[in-house]
Formats: sequence, structure tokens, C-alpha cells
Amino acid sequence: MAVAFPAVVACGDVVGVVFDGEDEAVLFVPNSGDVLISALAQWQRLIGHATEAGPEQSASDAIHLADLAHVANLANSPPAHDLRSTLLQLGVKLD
Amino acid sequence: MALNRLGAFTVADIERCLRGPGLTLTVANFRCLVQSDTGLLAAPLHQLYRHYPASLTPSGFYDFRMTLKRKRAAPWQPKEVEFGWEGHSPFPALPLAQTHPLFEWGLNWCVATLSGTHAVIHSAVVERGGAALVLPGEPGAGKSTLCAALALTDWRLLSDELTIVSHATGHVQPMPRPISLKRKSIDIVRSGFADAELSAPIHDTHKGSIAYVRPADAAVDAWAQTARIGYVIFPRYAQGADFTVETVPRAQALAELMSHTFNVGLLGRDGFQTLVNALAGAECYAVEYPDLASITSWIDSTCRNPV
Repeated sequence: MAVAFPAVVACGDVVGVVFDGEDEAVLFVPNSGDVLISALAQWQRLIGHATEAGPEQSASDAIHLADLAHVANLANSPPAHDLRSTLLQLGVKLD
Repeated sequence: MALNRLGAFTVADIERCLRGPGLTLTVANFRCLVQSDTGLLAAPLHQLYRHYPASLTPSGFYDFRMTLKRKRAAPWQPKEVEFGWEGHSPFPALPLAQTHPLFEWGLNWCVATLSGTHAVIHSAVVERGGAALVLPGEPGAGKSTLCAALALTDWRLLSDELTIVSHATGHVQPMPRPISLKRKSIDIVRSGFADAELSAPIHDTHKGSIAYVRPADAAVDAWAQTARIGYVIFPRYAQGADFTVETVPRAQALAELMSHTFNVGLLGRDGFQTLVNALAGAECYAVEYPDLASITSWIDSTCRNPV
């Protein structure tokens, strides 16, 4: 049986993917090697696909860096309010 | 160039070739030219790689040219071996007795570093019924022991160290090679699997005592049969623990696999896309287990659905 590959979507320097039936997105910043996991709603808002803004989630619930090498950097930064500011803190260009 | 099985030659023939123009050894779709003057490589190659295509009269194209040469040193200094790839030495020299492990680690390095557009994950991988089962894990998680246990029953060994994923298809490209076992795992496999053919242990490596299990001839022959990933299991051995299974979302599994992928930074977006495609149809689990029997039994009953 053929398997449908999920679409990888780009937003500026970051690419992300959502697997069928899951509520999180995996984001990858090729230039830096950062890997993040984000709530699906946050990713959809960032790429402009959200039809309705859901309730705001705390950054700690919604986003985390999967690449442990970069956790320390984020811990020393001001708390992120959303995915956009988290990515901007990492130096990612979004436009 | 005439290719025979390496086992068709004597250890003395192989030794002469290693010290001279080099031995051409074909491992899956990689052709290696190997030279060594340590006198300690011919016998383990003859035992563990006897079913692999080889030539004692090297000519033509090869992917990797590897040397394992005695390091020049004063008589009072320890005798050491140096790995070389195309004239470069990417690792520090090791005691001479570790010539064979250094060959294995050097070949891993060549594949992980020079695999073109393939994504290379640090993970064991086996196959049954067309579905590949990927077993990533930190050192001590038990992935090589588990890989050996599966490969010595009814699973086909694709690799015990490197899961090579094709960018074009998302399938795993097999590279079956001897399975590396450490410390207690050597006795577990030796006592639990009468058919297992192990090398003599090599002591005092940076991983402790290690030994290698010879892969099945059928796995070596089937190197061209790629497989789609059906399952990813993150195993964790914990002595005395309860057996627990947790389903892992593919998003989490992808993020974890990326941290185990040698060349994802080099491949960039293409590498990301390769791993996404590879995981598209996979079931992913985290399993904590207290003994080999419990996890092999669970895998046997769970991993049965063709992709």
C-alpha cells in the first residue's frame, strides 16, 4: 500500500511538518540545525493557515526545543509568548 | 575484476593482499579498498566477512580507501594502529589489538560522513515481512543486544549501527555487517543463541570488552532489498523495571530521530524531508524492559502488520 508523504511547509528560514491525526508540528531550521516541537495551532497561525485563533497556550506547553544542545540558550532568554517570538529569539528569519 | 566470497581465500592470502595493493571488500552497495600492516585484520575479516564479495586484485572504482597502519613510534612507546581515509586520520590512534574494531568504526565513519544524499541515523534496523523496525537508543539502551536477538531469530539484519534512508524513496538501504556487542551482552547472546557465531572478545576498548556477531548469509545476500519503515521503537533496558510501552507521536519520533542523524545539518531541508517521508507510515513506541525475553516477545506480537 502506498504511503502518502506529509507536506513540508516553509515559513522564511524554518520548515515544518504535521503528521496525519497529530496535534503537534515538528519545525526545523536548516541553517542552525534547531529542531522544535510546536502546538499545531501555533504553527498554523504562523504560516497563516489558522481559520480561528484558539486559546493562547503558555510557551512551555506549546513549544519546546527538541535539540537539547540549544535548550540552554533558550533558558537564558526572556520567556517566549508564542512560536513567532521563540523563532525570532533563535535568529530565524520568518519573512 | 573477479569477485569471490572472501571465504574463498585463505587468511594468508588476505594478509598478503592487505599488506600489499589492498583488499577490495564489497559491503552492500559500498566498495572498500582496505590496506593494513598490523597483521591483526585478516583473521577477523576472514571469519566475519567470509560471505561478502571480495577481490585480492584490486582495480577500478571504489567508494572508500581505508588504511589501518601501525603508527610510527619509538621502541619504548605503546604499539598503536591509525585509521586513514584517503590519507587523512580522523581518529586518534588506538592500541594495536584494536585493529579490527577500528576498521568497523572507521567504516561507520566513512558511511556516516560520505553517504551523499542519504540520511544516516545512528540506529539499529531489522526487517520482517517488508517492514523495517528501527531501534535508536542511547548507549546502554540495549539496542545492539536486541538487534542481535532479532537478527538471530526471524528478522533480517539491515544494520546494527547505521540506518541509511534514501532521499529518493524514504526506504531503508540495508548495510548488514557484524553486530557489535559489549560486556554482558556478549554472554547473553552466546548463551541464548546456540547458532550465533561470535568473534573473539577484544578487551579494554573505550566501550569495554566487545565482540562481533557474524551476520546471516541471507542478510548479506539481500543487501539490495530495501524496506519501508514500519516501526520505530525507542528501547530502554532497566534492570528490575516493569515492562512498559508508550505510543510515541510521529512528531516526537521525528524530532528524536533527527538528534540521532549524523548528517541532518549537512543535508538541511532535504534531510528533513527524507526523514519525514521515512516516518510517514510508521508506528512509534517507547519501551522500557527488564529483560530480553519480554521485549522480543512484545515485538513479535506487535510488529506483524506489513506497511
